[in-house]
Amino acid sequence: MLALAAPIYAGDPANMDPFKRLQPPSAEMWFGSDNLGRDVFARTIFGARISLMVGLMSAACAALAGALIGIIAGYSRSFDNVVMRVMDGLMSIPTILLAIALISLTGPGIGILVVAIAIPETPAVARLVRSVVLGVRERPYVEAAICGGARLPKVLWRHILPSTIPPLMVQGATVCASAILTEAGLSFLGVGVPPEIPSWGNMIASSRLYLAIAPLTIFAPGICLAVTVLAVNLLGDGLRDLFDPRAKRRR
Amino acid sequence: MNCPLLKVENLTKHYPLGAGFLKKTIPVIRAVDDVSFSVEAGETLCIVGESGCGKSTVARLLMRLVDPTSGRVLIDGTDIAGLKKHDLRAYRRRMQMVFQDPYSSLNPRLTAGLIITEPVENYVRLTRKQREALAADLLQKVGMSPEMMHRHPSELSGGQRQRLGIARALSLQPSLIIADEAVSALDVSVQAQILNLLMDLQQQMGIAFVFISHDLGVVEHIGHRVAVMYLGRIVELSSCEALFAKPVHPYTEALLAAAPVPDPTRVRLEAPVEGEVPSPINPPTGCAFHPRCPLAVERCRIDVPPLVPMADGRAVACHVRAPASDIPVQPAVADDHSPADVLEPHPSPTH
Repeated sequence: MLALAAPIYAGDPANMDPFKRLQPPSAEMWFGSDNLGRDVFARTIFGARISLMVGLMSAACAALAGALIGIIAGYSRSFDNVVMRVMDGLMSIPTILLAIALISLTGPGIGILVVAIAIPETPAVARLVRSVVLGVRERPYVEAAICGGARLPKVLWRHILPSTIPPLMVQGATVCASAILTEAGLSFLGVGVPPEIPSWGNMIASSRLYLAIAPLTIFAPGICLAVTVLAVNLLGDGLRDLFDPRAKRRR
Repeated sequence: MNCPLLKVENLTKHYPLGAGFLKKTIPVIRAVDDVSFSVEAGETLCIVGESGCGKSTVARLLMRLVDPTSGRVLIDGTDIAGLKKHDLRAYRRRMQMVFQDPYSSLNPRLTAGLIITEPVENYVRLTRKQREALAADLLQKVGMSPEMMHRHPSELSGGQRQRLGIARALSLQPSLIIADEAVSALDVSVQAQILNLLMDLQQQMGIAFVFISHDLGVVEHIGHRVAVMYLGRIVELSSCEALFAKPVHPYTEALLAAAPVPDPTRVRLEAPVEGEVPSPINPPTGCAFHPRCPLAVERCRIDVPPLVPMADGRAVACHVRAPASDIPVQPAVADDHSPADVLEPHPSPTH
């Protein structure tokens, strides 16, 4: 919420003031300023937008692709063997390496960053969905639906897919958290978000030389990063409790 | 009479154990072996047997939830074992299934109304009003109030859930319902209600049932004819009264003797048969029952007894009690036997 409303209350994150470099916190600039005289508070808030957007989009992409592959693999034995071996192969590629390779091919950009983060996360999601589908397809109510004359797409959509949503949500939150971390890591290495866009990774990278002089320039985005990842993970837990029909009954 | 509603011919299902790559012979589980029977419209055929004898596999084969290894399942003369998916859908309307477990056979995420009207919606598009009217109608048929349609299965009792399962099966107005242990998971008092409901529905709508159970009391109550299964084969097929009055196959005898009878004065026979059911992976040669059979003769170890029709309309697969006519063996000793016979082996017939 804070991040969405950023343009209203935070100053211009790109506005440089060479005379106010590495300032301590003040009423004007809550977290002080960085080495180029930019408002750290404004940059942290705007950085949150980038981090959250990359995280959410990566999670959505991975969840969508993973769910699709997982459902098909869970239902079709022949497809299962081929696809899951491909997924195993993907799983063995380090996220950061793949991202660096992809970005060096296309040049930096948020779109390619999302794809690069989503690809290595997809196998875990596919694996999870597949295991849920394998468990649910043997349930009597699925057989009952087939006896009732339901066509395969309907069986999948109505009786199998809903059971995969809760674990998918929880997994999605985990993916989102790790995507935020990966994005920060890539930006820190200078291959993530282009440097003109404020992001926590960029900020930590550019501030690391000034750690002794202006610690807040590195701690503000760092703490935000840690808190955000924790919050997203907690959100995943909360979602699981919400979606679990057994938990609902207990309440 | 010439074309029964359901006719099963030499139905066989073998489950291979593990992959047979590079192996010459794959061990198989003979879940169902050469089973034949027929069901007339409006009739109840019960299939009884111990756990693991292939009763449920028969049910799944009839619904074609699994494909048979060989054999035919004829509905009104059409073999559904060979049908393509599209044609099969048309035949699924004719026969429906009630499942054993009322807890896992209903999707916990749907409301009762959606569950019971779903089969109809697979064939016709319903408006919301039509669906609610149909749900109310179906709920009334199974003795539930129409307000229940908005409940989730988790808010209903076991008996109510099984009524939903029956309502779902009824929704397509089938001519045959396969009930796989439909009351086994319920309390005895609820069992009676559900059985009476099924019998009422049969009278009103002329539905035929294939009722699978291990509970002889239930079978005696509801059945017209009974098929007794042992290790994937039918050993005795008989009318219900005849079977309970005078079982012919020694396994049927043992089964009846083992059933609890609510009469404390009756003296229980001691363990009519001994030992465990043999494994269906490596069934005994000849008659599968011979290692436990008190009447077993030499021939039982060698030949598989065929199901031989007898004079009173029943069919029995036993070399001793129902010898096949082509090989002369001593006539069946069905007339003079009493339960005590089970304890002492019969004088071995010679052949």
